[in-house]
Amino acid sequence: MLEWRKLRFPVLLMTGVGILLSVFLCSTLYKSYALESQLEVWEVGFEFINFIFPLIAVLPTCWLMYFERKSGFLKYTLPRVGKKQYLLSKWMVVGGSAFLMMFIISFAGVITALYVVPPIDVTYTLVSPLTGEPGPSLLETHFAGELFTEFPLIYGLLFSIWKGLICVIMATMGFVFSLYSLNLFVILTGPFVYTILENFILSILHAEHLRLVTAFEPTNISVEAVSLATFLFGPLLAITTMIVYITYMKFKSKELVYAI
Amino acid sequence: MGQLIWETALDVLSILLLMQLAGRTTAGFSSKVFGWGAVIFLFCLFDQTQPYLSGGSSNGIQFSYNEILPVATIPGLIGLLFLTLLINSFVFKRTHVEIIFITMLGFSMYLLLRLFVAAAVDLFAVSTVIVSPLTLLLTAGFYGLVKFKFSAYLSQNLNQFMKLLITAIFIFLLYMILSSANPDSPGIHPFLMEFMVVMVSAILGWLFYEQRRAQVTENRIKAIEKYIPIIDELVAEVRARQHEFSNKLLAISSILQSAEDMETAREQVSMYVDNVKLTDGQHELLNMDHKVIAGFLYTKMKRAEQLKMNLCIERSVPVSDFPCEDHDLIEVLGILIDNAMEACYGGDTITVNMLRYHDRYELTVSNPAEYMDNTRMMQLFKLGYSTKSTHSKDRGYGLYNVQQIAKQYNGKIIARNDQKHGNKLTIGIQF
Repeated sequence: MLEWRKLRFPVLLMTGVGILLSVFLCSTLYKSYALESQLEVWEVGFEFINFIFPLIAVLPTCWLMYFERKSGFLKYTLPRVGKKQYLLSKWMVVGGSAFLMMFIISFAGVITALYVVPPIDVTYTLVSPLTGEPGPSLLETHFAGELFTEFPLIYGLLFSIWKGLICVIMATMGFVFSLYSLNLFVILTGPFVYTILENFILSILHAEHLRLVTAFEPTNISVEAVSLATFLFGPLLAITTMIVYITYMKFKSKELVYAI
Repeated sequence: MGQLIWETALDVLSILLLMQLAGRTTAGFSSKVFGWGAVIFLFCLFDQTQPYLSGGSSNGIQFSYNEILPVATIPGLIGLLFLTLLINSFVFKRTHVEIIFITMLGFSMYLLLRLFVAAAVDLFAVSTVIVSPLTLLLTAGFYGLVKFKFSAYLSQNLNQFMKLLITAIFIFLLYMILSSANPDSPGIHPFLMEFMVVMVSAILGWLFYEQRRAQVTENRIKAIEKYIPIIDELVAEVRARQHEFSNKLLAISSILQSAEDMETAREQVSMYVDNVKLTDGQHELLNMDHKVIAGFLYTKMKRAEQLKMNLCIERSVPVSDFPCEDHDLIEVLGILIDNAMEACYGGDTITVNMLRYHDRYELTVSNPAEYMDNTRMMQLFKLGYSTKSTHSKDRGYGLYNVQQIAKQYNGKIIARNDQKHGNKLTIGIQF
């Protein structure tokens, strides 16, 4: 609870700004798109947030550890609480905050798209080869098409939870950086830059379906390319990177979390 | 593809030069700088060749002034800004806040130069192929001009107003570029663009000039406030002694009357006068034409006295003739005298020399020390190098700062072994 108190203002501020941004983008951007389903309003509006999600997860949460290490406060916690317990409680608050922020921001977009934005003018973009008339295509061309079109609220809810979970991984990465680095930019922009670089490298290797941004928003690629690996590879690679980083810092560089 | 690589490389080089200018470092090709260029170049190249990479969105936004930035998409632009911020934090040894403003200032200067070139090319309907080479050429010229003529204007810490203004200009330029990306928005006429760029640059330049002026005045006032009361103390001390002169004359007269012979009288008067007269240093300070420097040297003289050292001032030129600001002179003197005191023991003499040599002014501080070879002497001026302690992070800034001040006034560093009366290490500046 004490850890939450330290972070509550930046987290609440980011959540508030995120909700405003999400509601604004979801209620404006869709107008210049030809859409087939109401929930596509959310997908279109959320594109920008899909790109900056590591920043949303890390900026309000991961600065704390840096300042506690820099000011030497971390040492003062030693007589009162065990190292592991303190770091674990801190991680839980960081991860939990990141999850809540992204879930709320994303779900606010879903609610805006479904209940605030006026019903869209449905435009079918796929011309049926049989009838020669434009017809619905989302069932076949969208990931989880049936859920998306029939139960958009549940689809939005599930994906908001999923996006929240990926943000936990990003916040954890920022937290791991903050355990060893004394460069605030590495801590706060490191996960974002990691996402960009991973995105580039995997795209060059023609593995767009394995990128973390694809796991975050699988509709970035064609539905045929989406598989279980799409959802698992990106997060697992991020976790592996964190483990490699910790191992390197601990055993190679001999950096200590409590050494400052 | 070849054209794209060539143009991206030139653009990245332009940004790199301007970042170094904003970061107040000399353009050079260390491994860090090379890494900076390589990472940014690869990032920009990938973003331009495969726009879908950046955010997963395939409809990347092309800028209408697509020659302006070496990225093709908005996610690419955001990535470029954050990546630059991150790498700058490794390349420049500055505080976090300073890094943010260095990055914004670097990009603002680049955008202004680039917009100027792009609009000029548009205005004169010249081929856009020359945009990148022309930007680099202009950047190099601008870099040289600022570095060698106006470096003092960039060398000061930014005040709050400047920070606010840099942020505003940076956001304004970004907004201008991003809004021009909308094909429906009316484009800005190239002539108007030129005018805007010149105006913004002029305002920025003028504010840097004003900031420098305000800072010089502020530093001068601070130095006066700090050291004038000290020299007043010295004057008061002398006046107090003068006040007692009648008593002293009476004492001398008594000595003469009570002495048994002339020899005894001479000895006793001589001993008495020794206690009364001013020291050479006090004479020198009272005769000094610059009260602030005199006050500062008086504090150092007192400190040396406490440490049982002797601080000797040898001056053959007026202090006000030195072609530099008072606060810079105080900083140089302070660093050199403090260093000398730390290297000396009780009984040692530290000499401050101010003289004119072949139309140049020299300020040096000498202290007894062992012979030091040239390699070690050069190391003294490196940032972070210290002979005193390897554990403290705050060491090794003094002589580096002296070197920076010398550069600022196109001066030279003096570092030599003097072997006239035992070996002495002499360090100073020739203005």
